[in-house]
Amino acid sequence: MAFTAPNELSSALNAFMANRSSTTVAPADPGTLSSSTSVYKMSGCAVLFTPVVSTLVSIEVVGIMGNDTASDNTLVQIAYGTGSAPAKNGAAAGTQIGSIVTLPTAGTTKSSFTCVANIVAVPGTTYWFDLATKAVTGGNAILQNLTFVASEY
Amino acid sequence: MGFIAPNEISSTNSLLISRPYLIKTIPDPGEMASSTVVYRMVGCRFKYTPVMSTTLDITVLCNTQQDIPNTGSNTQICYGTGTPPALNDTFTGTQVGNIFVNATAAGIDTQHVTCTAIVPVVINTSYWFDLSSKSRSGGNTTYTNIYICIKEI
Repeated sequence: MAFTAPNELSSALNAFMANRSSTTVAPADPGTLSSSTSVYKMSGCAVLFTPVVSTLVSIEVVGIMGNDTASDNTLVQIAYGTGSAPAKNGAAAGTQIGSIVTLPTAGTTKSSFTCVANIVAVPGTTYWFDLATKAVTGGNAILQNLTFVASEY
Repeated sequence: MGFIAPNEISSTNSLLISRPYLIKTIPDPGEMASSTVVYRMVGCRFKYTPVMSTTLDITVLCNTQQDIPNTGSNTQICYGTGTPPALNDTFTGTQVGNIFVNATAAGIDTQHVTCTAIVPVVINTSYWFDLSSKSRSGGNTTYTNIYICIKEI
């Protein structure tokens, strides 16, 4: 890590601010997953992001969630990791982090949702981001119209 | 933030990576005794003291439900200093950020709520953060599964 002299601090800070990167990705709709009750599975979004200068990364995911069965609920949480991104319906992988969202009312009425998380990352390392999803009581989780926003801050 | 001597400045990142962030689950406050068109407090009783930045990025996620269908509610983040307000207290503090409108229709009385705001703060001052809520045309509002996500930016 290079030494920053006091008289270089202002320009170094400006460079840090200017070089922070971000990405906004709308992955293909996962649609209806093959959920197992009370077991998290992956959604196969495979959103990739490589921070450039900062170790702090925030992730927001917005979309629509649901369950295909009356009175059953769905839980959704952000997951991330390195290496190969998990496929749709794959077993839980990576690290789950941040808010866990549920349907406001269990059942087949879909709801918009937002998940947020912050992670400590290594600049220059590529991370995958996905949603870990599980059905509550039964049924199959539904995810659609997803947008991932990952940004260094 | 403590004094940083010139010989302690190894990089700008060393100053910036230690900015705190926090995601906290709030116990369900219970059903409000709402007054139509009058904001009251939800009683999250969440407190945070910034230590490095004078700017906070705060997001509150939750589910909301009306006990009378088709009545609806408005929800907005608010904050202040001193003793945090309790459930059903009269409005206090400063409202910031988006007003989430649960404009219920066709008997759907639940929504996933996303409220977000940027808040100017004084370092080392303790702030409370809460939701303010009002019914749009009657009924009482309940908030569940509340997450407060805060980061110093």
